[in-house]
Amino acid sequence: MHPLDSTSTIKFQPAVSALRLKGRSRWLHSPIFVRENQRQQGEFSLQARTLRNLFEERLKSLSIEEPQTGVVADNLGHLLECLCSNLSKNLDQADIQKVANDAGKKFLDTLESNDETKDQLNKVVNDLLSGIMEPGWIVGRRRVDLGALCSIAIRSHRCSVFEYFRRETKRLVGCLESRLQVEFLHSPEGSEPDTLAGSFGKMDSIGINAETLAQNLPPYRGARRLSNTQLARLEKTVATLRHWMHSDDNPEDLILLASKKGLADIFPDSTAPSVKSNIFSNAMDCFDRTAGEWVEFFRAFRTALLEVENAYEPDLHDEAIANMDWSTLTEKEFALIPPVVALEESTSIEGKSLDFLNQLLDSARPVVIILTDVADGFDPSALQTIFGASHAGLAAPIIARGNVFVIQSSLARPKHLFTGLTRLMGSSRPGVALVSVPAPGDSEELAEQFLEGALGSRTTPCFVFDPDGGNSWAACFDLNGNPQKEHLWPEYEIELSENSESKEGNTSLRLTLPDYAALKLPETQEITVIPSSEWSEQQYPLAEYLDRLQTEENAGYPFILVVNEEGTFRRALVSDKLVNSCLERVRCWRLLQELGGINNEYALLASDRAKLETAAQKDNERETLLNAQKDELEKVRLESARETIDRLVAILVSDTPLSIADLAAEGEKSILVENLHPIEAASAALLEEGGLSFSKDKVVGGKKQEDKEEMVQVRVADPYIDSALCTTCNECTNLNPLLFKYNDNKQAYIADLEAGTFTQLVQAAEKCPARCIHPGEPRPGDKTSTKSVLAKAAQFN
Amino acid sequence: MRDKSKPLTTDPSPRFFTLEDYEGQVPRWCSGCGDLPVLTAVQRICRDEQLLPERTVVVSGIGCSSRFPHYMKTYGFHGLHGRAFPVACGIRSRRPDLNIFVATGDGDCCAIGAGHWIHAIRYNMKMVVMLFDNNIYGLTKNQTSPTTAKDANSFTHPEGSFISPLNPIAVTLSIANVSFVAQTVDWNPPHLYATLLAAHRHPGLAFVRILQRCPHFTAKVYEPCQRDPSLLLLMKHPDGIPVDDMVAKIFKNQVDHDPANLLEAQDLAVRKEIYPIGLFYRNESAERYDHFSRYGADMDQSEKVKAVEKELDHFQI
Ligand SMILES: Cc1ncc(C[n+]2csc(CCOP(=O)(O)OP(=O)(O)O)c2C)c(N)n1
Ligand code: SF4
Ligand code: SF4
Ligand SMILES: [Mg+2]
Repeated sequence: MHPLDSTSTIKFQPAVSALRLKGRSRWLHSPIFVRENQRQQGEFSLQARTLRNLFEERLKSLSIEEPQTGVVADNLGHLLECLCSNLSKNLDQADIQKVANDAGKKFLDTLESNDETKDQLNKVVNDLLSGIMEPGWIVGRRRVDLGALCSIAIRSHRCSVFEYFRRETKRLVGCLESRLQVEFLHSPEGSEPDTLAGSFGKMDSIGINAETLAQNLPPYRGARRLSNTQLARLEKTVATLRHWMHSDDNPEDLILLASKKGLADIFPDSTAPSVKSNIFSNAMDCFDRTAGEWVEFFRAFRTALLEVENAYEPDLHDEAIANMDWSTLTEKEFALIPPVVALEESTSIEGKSLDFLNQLLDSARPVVIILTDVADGFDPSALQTIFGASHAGLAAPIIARGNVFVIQSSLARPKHLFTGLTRLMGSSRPGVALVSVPAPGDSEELAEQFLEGALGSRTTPCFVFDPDGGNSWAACFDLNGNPQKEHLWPEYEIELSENSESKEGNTSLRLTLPDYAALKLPETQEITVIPSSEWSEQQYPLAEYLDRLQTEENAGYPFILVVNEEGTFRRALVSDKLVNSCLERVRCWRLLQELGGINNEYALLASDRAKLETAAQKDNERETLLNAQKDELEKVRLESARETIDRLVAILVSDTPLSIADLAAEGEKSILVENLHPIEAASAALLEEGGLSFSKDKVVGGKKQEDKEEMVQVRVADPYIDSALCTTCNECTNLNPLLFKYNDNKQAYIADLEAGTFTQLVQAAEKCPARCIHPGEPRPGDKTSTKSVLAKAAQFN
Repeated sequence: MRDKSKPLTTDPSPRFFTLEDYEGQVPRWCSGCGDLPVLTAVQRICRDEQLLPERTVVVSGIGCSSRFPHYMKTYGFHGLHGRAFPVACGIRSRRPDLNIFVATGDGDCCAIGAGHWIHAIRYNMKMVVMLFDNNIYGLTKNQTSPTTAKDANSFTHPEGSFISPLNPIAVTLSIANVSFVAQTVDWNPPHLYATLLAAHRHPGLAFVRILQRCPHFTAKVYEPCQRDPSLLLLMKHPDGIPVDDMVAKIFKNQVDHDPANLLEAQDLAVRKEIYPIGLFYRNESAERYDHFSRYGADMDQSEKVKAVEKELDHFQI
């Protein structure tokens, strides 16, 4: 048998994914390094970077010269590979240092070097690796990495507010406890001999007998007591807050529900409670229970905030506090509740389970649901939806609800997954994360091929749907994270080896749906590898074939390029069924792109229209500009003429300023000034001092009449108290506590004229030792103003 | 009410106090009594300076005015007649962290407590001393006090007092190491407030004589100068009690007096026909006994025992 015959036992792989693995781009997106950001005002946040990016940056900043840095740079992929293979043997992230050191050694061993360069290389590598020695997590594309990533992203959200609440609670408890302490010391128990002894220290030594002192202390000593309800409220509040402060609550706590044993490898060290009934109904109960407990805490917390500010008003707050539930919490408060996370395989969601999921989403409870989807090749019978051809078609109906934060991501893009989860945690809506994971037991290389295939072939694209993003799809929907998202398929430069049959050294290949399906060679029926003897003119690369379908009657046969381990290329024909799936996928991807704002039909039309319009507008504008310029010139000419005339007039007519004092001297205004309130009189005086003056023409001109009217208004003397002079003697406030009240400085003012009579004003003025009450004139309709009262009032006005 | 424009908390004390936080019992002074505006002024200062109630203590002797601590919701010590000063000095000796206000009457301070008065002034420990001078023993219902004017009658001198009164300002100014002497009147709240605030900020013992009306027994004493501000002499100086123009305007008689000038202050203090108000004298660098008396206040028990034992060792034979 011909060794390269289709029936050959040598395994063929789609060329694009097999050869791409050999290039450096393989490590572009994974693994990532997550570590804590520099804390700003104690706020906790995380930062994720790809290791490759981190290393490249570090290499640039190294002081060591070429060629050693160049050698490492060229072999960066290899270094990452060493690191990852080492990491997969060491699940324990804690010993990252050892992992890194071993990986460094392994890497150096494989490089050919003499003793001289070895030292240098050693230095470069060590320096690079020290970049990941800081506390942090390395996250790659293994199943277990999903667990790590979820915990980091989800927990970080709680950590970010935990410190704040611990601090605040401590402060509040401190404040309230000192209030209670004062209250206690004023209570009968506070006068018990024991308490007294406690607060005085060694009384005996200074000759005071606690018993006697207790008997002789008056029961009521000064301060106003708290009401019983307030006391009870304070005690309860403090108890609740204290309970949390002294609990062993850990900021990293989260409540994790995982449905199946098969998912245990994702969260290996979790103590996921066994799920008896359905996981989603379980999650709902769990959330209700947890949220209930925390709402109780936040009742206390908010009460304490109000109490400390002296702002708790039972009429207002009793009901509001009692009616609090999880939906009334602020975002910050909400973040403190340990998140409830449900982990399930997307394939098990059907029938009853789907009903429960819908119920949970209907209830709007902000539970985090993580659905894993194993990337293991394309099955033409899979359900096709706009949002993907896998995941049991779940994304579409969930997004259609409009109230759920949805991310679809893949372990091929840990950074996308991480940022997506972080955003999801920040939303107070239910969150669903659909994540492509490798099949259990897949090798690192296989896992990568499948994950990249599922993503690149647009079978399960990445996206984030944030219902609170805005009022348009563009604002809510984000397609970032997909390789070359502007294109139909991602296209890669592939280096062809010598024995390949292509003439050129390099070629570019697209990662299409059949390429993904071909990962299942030789099992899949949809792709047939043909020997080179059967190649013909009628066979076209898939992408070209799809184009031909639009135009040609006889489009020929589509093929993709496959390669075996020896580097031999073959064409593989694609079945009709797969071509149909492929066409369907293309259509869906186009729609999806449009949702994500790429190649949007309306936008394209609009931009064409806009181009035409701008062209027309430009002509218009030129004309208007010319006209405007002409007008402007004319205006400037006229204005300068007017200004000259004004100046001439100003020189001819003298314009001496005239002050209020001058006006007063004129006689007619003097009474008015005297009748002003002291404050107004002072401001009038100030005006005078400051030299502010009215110019002659303003008073002598037409305004004169108006000015006079304004001042006459002041004459109708309103009663007032010169509060600054009030001596807090209680005379007026005792006479009529509604008419007279104290201000913030405990000095009297007239609070409500309606509440008293003119006679009362005069009586108060007579009693006022500070003589600061001025009763003014009776208000129209006041029946108490007799002649004698008016005469008395006059003394005080 | 809280001023909403201010931040809710001011670190390190996260609390905010309103006037009510300093209000204790409802005062039982006669209505119109001059003690009332002083109480309000002190409460306002506490509020405006956000003094911690638990770090504030009002010390008094016995008298109407000495009921002051009950009306403040701070710590207080209503002591023995004439003994406000020793108590206050005792507190200050070991507690540099407290704000101390002393309320004492003309009887309390200038009669039975005169000895303590003189030494407290000389010790110059940081505190605000308010001498409520109503020219009478008010609480015991109308007996001649050292400041009662000659010929003024009381129950103890129904025919009028025989000898001329003591001048508390002149006395205080002549005591060695005096550091702050001011005079104000209860019926001018802005001046009263400004004077007490300056006293509160003074680093030493600030002695403020407050001309205080007692409408019940000595209504006539200050009535003329309340009616006619020209009977008061406003001492003005950039270093003096800051009064704004609105307030200053009502005083026809004003004099420029530099509070650093002790001799001039003494001259002003003995003027008979007019009451000078404002700051007579201030010397911020006078020696302070509390700087010495608090020595070792931060020692713990074992250190103290050690120190005592060390002393006792001197007597070993
Ligand atoms: C040792 C002692 N002696 C006498 C008295 C009686 N006593 C009580 S108050 C007072 C005088 C208070 O006058 P003053 O200090 O001017 O206070 P005012 O009431 O005027 O504010 C006297 C003599 C006393 N309580 N204790
Ligand atoms: S009567 Fe005069 S001094 Fe007394 S409280 Fe009223 S306004 Fe103030
Ligand atoms: S007796 Fe005089 S000093 Fe005492 S409370 Fe009455 S008015 Fe005030
Ligand atoms: Mg007195």
